[in-house]
Amino acid sequence: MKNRTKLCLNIFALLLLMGVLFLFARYGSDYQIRILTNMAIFITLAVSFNLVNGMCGILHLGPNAFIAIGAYTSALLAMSPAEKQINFIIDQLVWPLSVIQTPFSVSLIAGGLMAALFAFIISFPVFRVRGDYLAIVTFGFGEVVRVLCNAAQGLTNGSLGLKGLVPHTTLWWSWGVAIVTVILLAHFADSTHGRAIKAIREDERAARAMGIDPFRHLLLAFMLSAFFCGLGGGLLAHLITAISPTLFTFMLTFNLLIMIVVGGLGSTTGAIIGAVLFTWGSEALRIVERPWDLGLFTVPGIPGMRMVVFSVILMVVIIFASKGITGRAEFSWDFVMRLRRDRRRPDPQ
Amino acid sequence: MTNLFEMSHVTIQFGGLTALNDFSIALHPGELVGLIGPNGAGKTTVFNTMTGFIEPTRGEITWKDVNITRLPAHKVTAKGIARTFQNIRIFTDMTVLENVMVSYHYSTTSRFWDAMLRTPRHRREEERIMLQSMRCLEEVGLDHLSSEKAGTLPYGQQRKLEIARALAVQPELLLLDEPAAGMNPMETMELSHLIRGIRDEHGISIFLIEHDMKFVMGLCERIKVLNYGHSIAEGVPAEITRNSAVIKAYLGSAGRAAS
Repeated sequence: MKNRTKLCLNIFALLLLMGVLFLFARYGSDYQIRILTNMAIFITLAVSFNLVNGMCGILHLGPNAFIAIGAYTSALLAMSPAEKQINFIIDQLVWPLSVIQTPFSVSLIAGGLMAALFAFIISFPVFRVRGDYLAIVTFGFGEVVRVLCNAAQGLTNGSLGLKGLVPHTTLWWSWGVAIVTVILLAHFADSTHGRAIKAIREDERAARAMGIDPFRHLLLAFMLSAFFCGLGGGLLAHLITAISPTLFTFMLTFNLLIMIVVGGLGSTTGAIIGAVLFTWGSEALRIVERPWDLGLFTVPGIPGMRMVVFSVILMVVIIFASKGITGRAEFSWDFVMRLRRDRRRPDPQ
Repeated sequence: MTNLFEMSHVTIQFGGLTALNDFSIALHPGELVGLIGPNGAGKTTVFNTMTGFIEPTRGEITWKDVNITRLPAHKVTAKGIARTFQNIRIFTDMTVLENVMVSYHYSTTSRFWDAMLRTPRHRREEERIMLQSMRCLEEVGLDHLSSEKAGTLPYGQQRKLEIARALAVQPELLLLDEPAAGMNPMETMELSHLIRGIRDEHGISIFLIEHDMKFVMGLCERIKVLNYGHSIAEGVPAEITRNSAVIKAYLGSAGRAAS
């Protein structure tokens, strides 16, 4: 298929998505809009998490740190000085942060940059090791950031968290960021840089023998991933409007892992599908947490039952479809066209 | 004649084990040299040292009179030394074409933001490396399989793909680690033609390890023999086949065989 046709189809699909979003924004209930906004944030997070875990093939367990840094940075920059005064009752907020206020867009970018900076700093110890050891190191950094958020009273307001953020994150903000993230990261994955990091995933020794410096490329992917996770964190903060360290526990990382593993590790398409299914699923599965009336007796609702269901789904996927929904395949218009053609022209046998 | 590559008095010790002892070799431009020796003689260690995967304990390695002894592997490759591996190490989950395109990565100039924004510079470069990669595949006769997953290729073709991938680095010295391992006589003959063709066409030096004596004797112009980390002989194939030290290394001495 010609590149021109593909471009037209891409633009058409984007307009269609915009149309659907517009209809929801116009006629949908608050509940539906809220789920859609959440969905887009998780698409951003899952796609950028997948860049490291799926494409580079390293088990990184600390995206919650990046998200937390993005969320706190963006929240502290976007809050008004007066609001900060109300929030910080135990300790005063440190000086430059207590007076500055930036527009929402600037605070988002700053959140992303801070997360990328943090990724750069921790990359030196992280990339000295591989495999399980790397997982443990990144997991550790994830926890360290959460603990620091709890302890740095003058910076993050400790366990009290930040409250009363302006709900800047609209349906359009979250989907806009998600679409830009997906386009940029998909382009990155489908380029010479993307091939280089996939080569490292396949065989690091062979990649080095082909002139690829593993550290530089892993660092680049790690920082890009952190940047977009930071953006997602900023959006999340301004959607929930109240953040505290408990929001950024390992649970968040675990949820993202479910999304990209179920969707298909190493595939951007898979990460999107995983994020959509997860956000929709966690709402649809609310019924399992409600008390069940079985006629004779009532089973009381068990909070947290959804996570049990998700864990079971994850285990089933790992056992029976270890490559997830899409495997490492990506969506392409050629594939769609082939499907159509196959249907039109039945098998000659 | 100036040396393209030189390794002088290199010793490699892993703990108490001396894998390579005072080993020296010089390679000239356009030469086809073989490295043979019994199992465990240290042949692959020589390759790993040449390509920067192992740092020598003692000794010096020079490339066009520049010291490259402590250069990391990816920088050695960028200088112009490419290699294949004894146990095939292709990128199994990438297509055949992508496997070769990876090798051109070090020569690209477009930055990651070029890739993310699909700038004209990046597009031109992608097109260039795709065409060049296709040409590499044509050379080894794999162009018709370019969009197959590399892991699905049969063994002999995976070996060829490894050679194509190494060629794509545009090396001046190509190191082949047992290229004919596991091939049938037909494939081996074909490979022999391919390797000679590559040398003649690109004018590069080729240094190879091989166990198939017929293959090595027929192909190489100069042969070096290694045993227990020591270099025991060097010369043209005819000399090597008559060398008593070599025969002893491979077959054992007459005295030991009798007792």
